Amino acid sequence: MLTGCLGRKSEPIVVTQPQIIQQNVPIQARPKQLQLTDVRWYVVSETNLDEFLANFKEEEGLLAFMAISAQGYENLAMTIADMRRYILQQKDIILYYEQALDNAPDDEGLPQE
Amino acid sequence: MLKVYIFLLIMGIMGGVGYGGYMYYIDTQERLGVLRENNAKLVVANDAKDATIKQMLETQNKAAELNQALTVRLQKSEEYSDGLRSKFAKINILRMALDEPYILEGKINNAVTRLLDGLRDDTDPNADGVSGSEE
Repeated sequence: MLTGCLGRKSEPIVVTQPQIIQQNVPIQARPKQLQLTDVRWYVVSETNLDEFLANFKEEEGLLAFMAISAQGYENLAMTIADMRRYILQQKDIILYYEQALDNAPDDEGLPQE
Repeated sequence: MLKVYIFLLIMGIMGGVGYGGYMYYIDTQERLGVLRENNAKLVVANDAKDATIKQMLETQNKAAELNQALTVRLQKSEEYSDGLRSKFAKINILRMALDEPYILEGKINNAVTRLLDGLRDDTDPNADGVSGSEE
């Protein structure tokens, strides 16, 4: 009995180290709002060209303006629309990540050592 | 004299057995203590593991929901471009410019105002709205 007792190895001591690693990514503030200035468009064709020139000179003082074709206008409009689409989708993706980060696991229910 | 030796021998054996039993008892108690402590630690570790797995599953489900919502929102963001494209497809802007320049001018200026307002709303840092929430 004595030899059996002395010969027994001691029980191994279990060491557990539960670690809770939390995401620590602060949500950043959004960029400043766009500061947009209103723009007035004139539609000028051979129908109202003379009238436009007279009115424009009266309003602006000088007869100088930037012109764009109908097709150019369509292209510009579609370009701006696509840029807006990009801004919105970028915002959506940022929101997605913000919501995902907001869902970071907390230590509730997790036993601490 | 022999009786004394026999007595001492028996006492020695009994003492040895008693000491052995005592040591066995002490050792067993120590082992029980260690095993009890190990068990408590393992229960805690197991609970932590279960809670972690539960949270991982919840996170995974949440990610799937968010992903689905994102897909819908990304699709919605295309609406303005799609609407504009279909408008341009329906109307002949050149013909309108020739026939009704002032009507077209009014429509264009209104559309530009709405677009600029929309862009202001879209980039408002205080707005929680997602894409296409307005318009």
